[in-house]
Amino acid sequence: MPDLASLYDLHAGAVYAFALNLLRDDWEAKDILHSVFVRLARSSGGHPTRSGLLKLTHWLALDCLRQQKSRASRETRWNTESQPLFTPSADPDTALFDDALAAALLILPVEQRAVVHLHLWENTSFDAIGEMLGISRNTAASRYRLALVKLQDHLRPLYNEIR
Amino acid sequence: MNPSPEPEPDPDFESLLRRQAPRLAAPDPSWREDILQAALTSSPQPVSSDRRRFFYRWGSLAACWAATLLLNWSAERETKRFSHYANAQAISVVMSSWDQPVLMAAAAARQLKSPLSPSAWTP
Repeated sequence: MPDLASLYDLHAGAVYAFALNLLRDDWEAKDILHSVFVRLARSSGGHPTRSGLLKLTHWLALDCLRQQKSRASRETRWNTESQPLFTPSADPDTALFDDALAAALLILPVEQRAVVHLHLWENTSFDAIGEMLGISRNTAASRYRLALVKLQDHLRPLYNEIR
Repeated sequence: MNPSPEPEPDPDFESLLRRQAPRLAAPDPSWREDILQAALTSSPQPVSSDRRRFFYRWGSLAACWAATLLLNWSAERETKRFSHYANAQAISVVMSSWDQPVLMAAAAARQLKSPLSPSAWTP
């Protein structure tokens, strides 16, 4: 197994971004990143893959969401202080699109958001997503399509302007 | 009538979103050392596995020995209690056998003296 530091350098960004997109909480995303690497260090041997780590991230994020006692307060917090999902940009147009996209992703249920994140930003196939999330390939593809249509509807004015 | 087809996302919009990938937020670089340190200290150390095996072996032996002692003590206690119970029963049997003639004599005497006894009615 490669050493932990190089595994961190390879996968920490993906694990953190995925956790942040699902939870929208910087500290919880950090906690998940921490838990993933602690578990990785404890596991004996084997060659950890990116999909394996993202599967664990998804599982931990869902567990974290389940543990939230008050979902309503979470929703309120999301609406009031959304965590930056993208690195801040100096360009105002880019910053505007980033904010709009980050806010639009919040209208999606977590299951759809997970599929969108994995397919768009991790280049994961629907077969692999199905295996990671414990759903069929068709369900993954359908969730992705529905989510993208929702996002497009939500971002239509801005998208038309950019286009 | 054919069911309405599911709406398809615009490929241009999809590629626009794909271009956001390198812009996803990254973890704070200052976390790296903390997380790696925590992960390494929590990982099982090869040296400690020998020590753990030593503790398992001697610990299980000690546990067996303690269990045997406990069983012995418990069995001994039960035997003592049973013997007390058996002695008490034997004493009560003996005592009741001693009482038997006395009780019979008393009953007979009562029967003779009592005005309610049938012997008192007869002239």
